[in-house]
Amino acid sequence: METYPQGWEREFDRTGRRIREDVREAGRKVWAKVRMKVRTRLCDGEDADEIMEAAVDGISRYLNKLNLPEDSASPEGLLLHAVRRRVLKGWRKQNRLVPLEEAATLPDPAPFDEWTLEIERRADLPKILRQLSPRGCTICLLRLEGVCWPRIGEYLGIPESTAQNSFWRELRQAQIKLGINPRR
Amino acid sequence: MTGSQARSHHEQRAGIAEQDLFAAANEMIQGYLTGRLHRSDTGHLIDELQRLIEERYPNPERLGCPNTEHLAQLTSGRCGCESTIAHVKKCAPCFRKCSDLLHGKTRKDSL
Repeated sequence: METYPQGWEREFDRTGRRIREDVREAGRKVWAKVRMKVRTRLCDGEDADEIMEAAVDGISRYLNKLNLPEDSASPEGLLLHAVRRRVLKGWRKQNRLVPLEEAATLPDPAPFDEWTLEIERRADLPKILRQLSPRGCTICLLRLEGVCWPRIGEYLGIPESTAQNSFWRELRQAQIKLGINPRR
Repeated sequence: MTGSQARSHHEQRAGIAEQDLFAAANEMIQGYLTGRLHRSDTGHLIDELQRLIEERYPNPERLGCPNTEHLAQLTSGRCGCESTIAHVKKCAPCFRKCSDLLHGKTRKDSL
């Protein structure tokens, strides 16, 4: 499988500024997904490199402007958001070129919206996790390890349903606190 | 989202798939162990992880433990080896060692 280095994977941007390592690292992580999505949405995998390059440069500059040290941010979400905006821009541009008589054949934008929402939802998850209480984290970690709800209830000394309900209630409270609409 | 699987009513109400939440938690743990994420940026997750590991995986015989150099490579982000991370998540002494290494690194960075 093709991995990196890619064209976007550079130490300095076109103006000679150093690109942050945390952003490059995030780029490596999301690259496969970005390339696939660009190929799917814009029907041209060649654009992916260019889009990624611009997104990595932009986010690196943005984080530097905020004076955030390299180990303090987790820029995958920001990077995906920047890529999404650029893909959307490219997608709109492509669709402007479709003659009006072929408007009926335009792809349904719904799958794109679904994808963007998915990215946003996933970007929200670390924020939600940070809001969890120690007990909420314990439940999450036990579930992560494959422990079933009845055993979690036993471990915490509470009924299974209480464990389950309190965990999900906590998640929804975190969403409310963060202003995240679960139904978007 | 993990769309193909049937989602519970809890997942539907929250608009969160459990699997996605676990993936995010895993990502945070990995970020912490490889020095990309500070402990204070993980809420209570790493504190609880350490408590659970101490309780469930004390590993006093140090079975299957990698050497300190290997752990140092992991915490400095030079080696993100999945098998090492998997071991550290199930070995209290190794997790403690990683935390010490990361704490040392943080202190050094802040000086």
